[in-house]
Amino acid sequence: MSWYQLTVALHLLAMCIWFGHMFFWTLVIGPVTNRLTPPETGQTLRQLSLRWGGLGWPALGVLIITGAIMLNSRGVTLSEVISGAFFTNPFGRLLGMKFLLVAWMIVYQFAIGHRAAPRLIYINMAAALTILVLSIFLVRAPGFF
Amino acid sequence: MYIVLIVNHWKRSCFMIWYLLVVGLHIFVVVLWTGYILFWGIVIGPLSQSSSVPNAADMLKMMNRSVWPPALIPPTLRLRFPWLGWVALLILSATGAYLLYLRGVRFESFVSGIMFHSPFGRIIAGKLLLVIGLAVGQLMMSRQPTPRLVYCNLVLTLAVIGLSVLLVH
Repeated sequence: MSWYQLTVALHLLAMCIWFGHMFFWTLVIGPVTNRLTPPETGQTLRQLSLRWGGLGWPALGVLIITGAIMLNSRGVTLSEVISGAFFTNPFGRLLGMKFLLVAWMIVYQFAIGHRAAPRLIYINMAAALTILVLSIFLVRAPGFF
Repeated sequence: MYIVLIVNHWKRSCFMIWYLLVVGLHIFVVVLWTGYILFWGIVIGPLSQSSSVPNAADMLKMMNRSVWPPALIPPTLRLRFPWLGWVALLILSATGAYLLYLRGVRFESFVSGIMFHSPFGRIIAGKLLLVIGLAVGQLMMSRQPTPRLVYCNLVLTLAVIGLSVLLVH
């Protein structure tokens, strides 16, 4: 396995951990813990999950580092991104949209974190899904647009 | 002439959209599957050793088996998508087989073993073995989700993702 493949694998793993935990907990487990009796049991389960499942920030760190390495290996430099020159082509614009959505998710992680946000969490999941779709376009069909 | 070009372009675009949809579905289900395995890994293991929630581990085990037989499970403990693990495996197998077909892998070369002579084929073989391991693990988990089994499934999932990267990149 080359360094590039290792980077891609780490990027995918971190994405699966971050998004997978969010989707599964919100769609499947959360509704059950709300119905548990006594309610303290559900609360304790949630706390346990946070104590042992605080993987969001480490996963985000891995995603940013590996994402930067992959962009660099595709010839994208920091100065191009800062100057905006990178965003003049379709690939750059798609990536720009992905950056914006990732920025939203980081803001969400900072502001809400693991607190209950019945409506915002769905917006966050929609952002995660869009990031997934954009990433597939970027990797599998960069010249499609 | 122009009409033929336009039709060909349209066909290529439709095929590309279809291909991207299949890839997207495959990856989305991988994400859900990882979340599913991860949940059991990070909650069941610690719960089984935790004394602060006396009945929680039993409850979660029950929730994992909540479809069959449903009458035994209290309604409050039933998961919204209890069949998620099996449906995820089914979708992953179907979309994975289709993506292999698009890459030129045919059933005949698979059955005859010719496919496994190349490094690409050997990686697919490794991935298939791991996926079979995941299905067996899923079956055992639906009967009794022990922490060791859950961690084993988590490691298998990570290994499948690693092999998939080798296949695609």
